Amino acid sequence: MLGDNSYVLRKLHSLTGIIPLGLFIMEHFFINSFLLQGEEEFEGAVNFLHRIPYLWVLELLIAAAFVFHAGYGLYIVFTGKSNVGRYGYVRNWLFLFQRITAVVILVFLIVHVYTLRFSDLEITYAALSQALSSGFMVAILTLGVLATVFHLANGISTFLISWGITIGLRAQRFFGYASLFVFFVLLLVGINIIRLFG
Amino acid sequence: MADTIRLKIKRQENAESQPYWEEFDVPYQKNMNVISALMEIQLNPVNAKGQKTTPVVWDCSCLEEVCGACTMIINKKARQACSALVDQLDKPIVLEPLTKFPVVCDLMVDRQIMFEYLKKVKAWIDVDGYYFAGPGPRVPEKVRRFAYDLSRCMTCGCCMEACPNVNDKSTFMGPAVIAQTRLFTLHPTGEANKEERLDAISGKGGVAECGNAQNCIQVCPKGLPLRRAIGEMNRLTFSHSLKKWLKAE
Repeated sequence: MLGDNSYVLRKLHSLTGIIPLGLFIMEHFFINSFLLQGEEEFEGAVNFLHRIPYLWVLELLIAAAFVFHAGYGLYIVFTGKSNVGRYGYVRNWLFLFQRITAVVILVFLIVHVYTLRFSDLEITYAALSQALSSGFMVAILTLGVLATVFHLANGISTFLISWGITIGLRAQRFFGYASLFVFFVLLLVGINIIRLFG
Repeated sequence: MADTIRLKIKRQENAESQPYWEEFDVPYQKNMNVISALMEIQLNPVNAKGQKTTPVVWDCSCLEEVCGACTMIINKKARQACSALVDQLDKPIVLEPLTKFPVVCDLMVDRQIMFEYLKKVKAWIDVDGYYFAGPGPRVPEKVRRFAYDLSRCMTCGCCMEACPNVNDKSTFMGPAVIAQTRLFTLHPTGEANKEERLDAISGKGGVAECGNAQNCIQVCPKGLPLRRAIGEMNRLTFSHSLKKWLKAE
């Protein structure tokens, strides 16, 4: 195709982070936020998701995207050598945090998906509330949300640079702050979900 | 002002040997730079303990920050020794060789890899014959200004030294070669080889391996417009790769 596939892999890695993974996170937070409307509304929204046609295709696509993004991402993590000690600039710290959160998310998601998707647990308010009753679980979930939200928000601004969309300082700075805004909004929504379950 | 200056230097006999630290006290002179401090050691190779030692080896040429030869790590930052004025530096002055290039001896490193990268992207304009071909195409002033800024690169390696994605585990070629690819794809005559250059810079080690840490923008001693160069190469390599895939037979 291009003689060597690294370019395509890099671009795919960048793209899958937004579509479908970033979109999925937004959907996940959105559906969970039905809790604000009450337990029945939440369970209704979960039931709606379960009745989506071709759900298994969507799940398979998201799973495949995740496996690729995480797998190639780990390779990127291990081929980087952070130097914030000597070069403590903001973007360099963000570079480091993007890689730390990547590993945190990977561990968190394996546990999260294993316990909630591939277990006998029925997704009802009562069952989830029960599972979330310990302070330990709340702490783990909060850490997971924090890492995920950072990784996605920062990923949006670096996606725009890597695809040659934001080129100048003004645009890169604008979308840097826009990412900060996305970070706080998603963080609040995420924390609120954990609070409502607890 | 103290009449001697303390230098702490990371030394290494050759590429294979283990590095070690040695300290020196050199007589202070008004307006001295790191090069003239190193010349004092060359003149009198005695370390701070009073022991006779081998003179410290370093590289330099132009002494006016346009050749890049004397690039080393001075107080933890990659920069040129000739433009590092002793009066403006914290003491003791800590000197280390660049870490992203093989050490030849002491502070002298081999930056040949940077020139190999420039060859990969054909960072030159081909001569298409020795007859007079008339004047070249005119370049708009705006383009000329950008091209001139890019042409100020002296291949010193500061950008590669500061880049977290340039290291012995990665294949990334670094910011300098990306900027030069931008320069030669901008050139109206150089455009003839645009596709070859874009092929090279979108291949292994190319611009897609940039991790957006943007340290290069901060450390470039010549203030090259690296943000714009990398951003535009991101855009150009994408449209080039897409077009190439769509057109391929």
